[in-house]
Amino acid sequence: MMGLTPYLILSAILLVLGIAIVISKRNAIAMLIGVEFILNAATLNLVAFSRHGIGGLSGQTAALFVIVLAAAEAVVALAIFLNFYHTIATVDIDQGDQLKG
Amino acid sequence: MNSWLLTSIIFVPLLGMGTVLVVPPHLIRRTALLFTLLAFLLSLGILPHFLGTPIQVFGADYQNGFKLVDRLPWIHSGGFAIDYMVGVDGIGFPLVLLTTVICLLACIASWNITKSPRGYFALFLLLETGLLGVFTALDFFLFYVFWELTLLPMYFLIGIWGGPRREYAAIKFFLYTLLGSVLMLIVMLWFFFASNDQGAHTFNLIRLTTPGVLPAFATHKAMWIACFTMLYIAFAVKIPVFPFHTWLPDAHVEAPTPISMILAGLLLKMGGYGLLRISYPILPHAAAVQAVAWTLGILGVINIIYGALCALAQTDFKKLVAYSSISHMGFVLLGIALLTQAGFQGAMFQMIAHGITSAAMFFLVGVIYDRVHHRDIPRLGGLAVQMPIYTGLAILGFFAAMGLPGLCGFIGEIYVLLGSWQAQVLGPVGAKVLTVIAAVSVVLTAGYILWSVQRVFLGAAKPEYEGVPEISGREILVMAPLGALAIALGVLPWQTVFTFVSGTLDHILKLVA
Amino acid sequence: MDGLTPEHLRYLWPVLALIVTLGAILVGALIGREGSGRRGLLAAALAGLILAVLLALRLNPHSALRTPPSGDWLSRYLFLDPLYRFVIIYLSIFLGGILLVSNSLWRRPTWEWPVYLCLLIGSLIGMILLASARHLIFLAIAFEMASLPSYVLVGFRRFNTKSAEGAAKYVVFGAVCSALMIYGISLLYGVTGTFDWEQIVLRLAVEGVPPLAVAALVCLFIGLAFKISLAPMHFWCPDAFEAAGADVAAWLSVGSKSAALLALARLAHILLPSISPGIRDHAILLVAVVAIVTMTVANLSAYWQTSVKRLLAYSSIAHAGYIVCGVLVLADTAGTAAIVAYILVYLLMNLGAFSVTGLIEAQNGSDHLDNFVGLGTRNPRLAAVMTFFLFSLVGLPPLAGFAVKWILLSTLWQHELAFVVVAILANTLFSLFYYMRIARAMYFSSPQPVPSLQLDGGSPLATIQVPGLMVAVLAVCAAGLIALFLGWGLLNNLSLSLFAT
Repeated sequence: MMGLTPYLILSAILLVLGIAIVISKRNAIAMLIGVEFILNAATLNLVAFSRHGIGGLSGQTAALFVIVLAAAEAVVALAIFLNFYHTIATVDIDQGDQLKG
Repeated sequence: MNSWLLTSIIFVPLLGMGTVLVVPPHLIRRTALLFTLLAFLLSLGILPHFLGTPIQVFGADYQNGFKLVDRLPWIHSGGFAIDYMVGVDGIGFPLVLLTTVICLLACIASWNITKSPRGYFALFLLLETGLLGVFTALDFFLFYVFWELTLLPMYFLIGIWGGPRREYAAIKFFLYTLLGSVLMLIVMLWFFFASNDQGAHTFNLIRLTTPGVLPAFATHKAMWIACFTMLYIAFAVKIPVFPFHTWLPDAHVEAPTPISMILAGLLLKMGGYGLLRISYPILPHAAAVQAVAWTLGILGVINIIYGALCALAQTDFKKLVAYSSISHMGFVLLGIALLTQAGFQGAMFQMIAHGITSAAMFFLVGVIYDRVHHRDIPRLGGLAVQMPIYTGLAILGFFAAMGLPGLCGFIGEIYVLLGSWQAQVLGPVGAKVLTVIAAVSVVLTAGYILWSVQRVFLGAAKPEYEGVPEISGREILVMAPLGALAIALGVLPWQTVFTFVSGTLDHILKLVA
Repeated sequence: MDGLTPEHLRYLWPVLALIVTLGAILVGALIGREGSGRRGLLAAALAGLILAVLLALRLNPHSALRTPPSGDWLSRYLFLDPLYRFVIIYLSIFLGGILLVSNSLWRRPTWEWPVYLCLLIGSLIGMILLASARHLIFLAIAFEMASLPSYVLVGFRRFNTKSAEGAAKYVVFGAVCSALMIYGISLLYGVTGTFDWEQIVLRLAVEGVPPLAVAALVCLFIGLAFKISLAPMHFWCPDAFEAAGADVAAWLSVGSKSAALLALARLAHILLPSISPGIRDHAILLVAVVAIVTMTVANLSAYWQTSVKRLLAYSSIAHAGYIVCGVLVLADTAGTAAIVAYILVYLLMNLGAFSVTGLIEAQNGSDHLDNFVGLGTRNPRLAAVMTFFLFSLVGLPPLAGFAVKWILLSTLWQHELAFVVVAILANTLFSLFYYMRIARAMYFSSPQPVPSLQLDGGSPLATIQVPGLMVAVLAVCAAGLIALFLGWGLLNNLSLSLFAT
């Protein structure tokens, strides 16, 4: 069985990727994907820690909750983006320039 | 035992404010007048308590000199001990009377306010409550609350009913004063948490003057110098002392006439009163430091000379009067700074005298403005022909401000100068130099007053002022009491002022020495 | 479900009542006739809120800020202390006020009303649980429960470009921050092997705080700071508030901020006293710097705003900066008590100010500052209460805004945080400028009809009609501000009593 380290490295890569996407992209859908990267990094962490005997099963249970949260958030976010698209016909967040100051 | 007399005086105007807000429109003015009159009559009730020799009235020390103390627990929670505590001594009581008198006269002077009178008189009465509270509060927290309470009504009174640049003047006034208040708030925190009155913290302004109640302050010089400086700035903004004075010409010029009367006559006194009530008794060691006395003394002299020079340069009549206020209030600071008996008495007298003369001058300027709709001195002239009664009253008011012997302005200035001449705190020569410089201002004051009297009232009658109506009965009603007071204080200074104030002032001086 | 006794279930009843209310409204909307029954649904929602308050009042939590680990089921997830009860009562009553205001301002199709109610009540449940969460996954769920409806509420004014844009920005920002927070929670779990905050703290106290845990704690702080809108996580706030209706903005400015503030205060108060002084001092410095930067940035940005909702949003950021300073006090619970007192009064000021703004907006179709011009003559009473709210927000006596600021400042001063006191006072001076702009518009500027602003056909010069329920809300807010100033000892006692041992 592999040790904990590879999982943590993968999760760190996911986190960094996620943050990079969120920072660099201006497309709302892409940003949402970046957020999912971060959430999946967290999920991976939880499962990996739990699997290696830290804190029993609660980590894996928590991972389920995180997946549900991510799904719920995606639903709401997509609905809002759709509405944004309907009104402004773009999903580029920077194109929204009604709110300034 | 609470006598409730002061409490009723303070809150009668507030009650009046509530009434003004609900009465039908045609009764608003009369209601306001009724309540200011009521406050004045009630305040006369203080007088009997101060008849007698100073030692009978004021006791042996500062802490025992308070009369008519009303005390109710207000906030006692989580370590705070804040009382509703009001009372008067020799310095509070004359200012209470001055407040009720000036407010009554200003209320009569407000008769021709036509722009939403309901709001005007409501704020006016709120302002009176704030002022009365400041001059009577004996709890620092309560003092602060009343201090701030004067801020809002004044802001709106200038900002809504003022002249063309009213917005600018109002916000400037507000900012300067709030800056001072914020510094006072820090001092309040500092005093409260440093105080130890039998194991508890206290806001009580009398207890705080008792030696040992601020133990840390007795040893840490930096601490009391810091507090003294912050308090000084808070009060200096109100007096106003150079370089915190720039709000005053704007505010005075833009404010409507009755509000200028209150601003000059009463609000400026809050600063001097604050020094005498809080700074000096609570931080006596700071006051006795030579550098502090030098700084305050020099600033006082700067005020006197600078104000007079600026007044000389003005062509706007109201601005001239405003700068003369700065000059006159400089005497208050000089008298207090140099720690002599005569100086203290002179400063106190000057506050009251200036309360009367500045209110009178602003009112007189307002009378002209109402008739000719400008205040440009070069365009005026020869009014003595058209308005002889008005000119007589005006010359009385202006000469009182100038310091003509026999009128009230003279006594305060001469006492301050006498006191500063004898002062020891600046060494043998320093005080004398300051005195001589300050004395020069007498010439300057005479210069700008006589010159403006000449330009406004004397000379050939100008055709454009043909048919300007003479001063009305209502206006005489405002001006006559002020003139009478100016003469009374000038002829009988001891009986009208010194007998009431000297006991307390001596006690404060004893605390400092 | 071991240890789930009726005794413990009692603590859940208020929340259950809210959930039932939410369900009832949904069902009611489905079975009722299309486009009718707005009043009935409002009454049902209010009844549910009142029921929750009553049930909460029946609770008798006896312990202080920290519940001793009692081992029962519910208290593994929630801190069942007096603060929990307070949050239920506080937020439910507040939402009641919001509903009354919303009802007066409602201009949207009737069928959207039940949706709106459900979103508000849903976020209320999330906020209550967020403020009391002890289990970190529970905290994350509560966080999302509070956030998701808020995103939708901000975007609720469909076909409005501003609303759509504000909601999109808000949801992106929120999703990133909450993802980072969840990532932090997963790291904390890796370091300590538990999600229970008490046990995490115990571990960290005994075994020291490894760098990974520091990173995790910072992530957790970022999540909460987003909800509180601390700099630099405050950018969403002006956009979202300008996008949302004034009622929703009021709800978010007080509800979600105070819930997250209480959560932060509670977690910090358990964590910081226990861990090593080195890290503690850094944490305190971090919070202090963030707080000071927040209030300064907000107060300086607010001045340039012409949208009053946006201006009030910056004001609410600045106030969040002030309030969070209460977290710095660790020696006793006085700091947290000061936070409670502050948010109580903050509710009155903000509800009032946003309600008046909502009225102006409903009348003129815009919350531009110009629409406030001449309010002093058009509707003197409305202008007067607005002035009350503004000056209370500045923190001037004799209004309660001063009293709570004073409580906060004196607590900070007592705990030798004088530099924070000076920062708050300096900011009070800055803030004067922009609150004054509204007062100036209402009283000093003379009304001039601006044709471009008459979007909904309402004239800016017209007298503003204030619906009856709104009058009641505004009167309660204004009277409360004076009453709570005169009796701020009671306020102080109340907030301190929440933490008495």
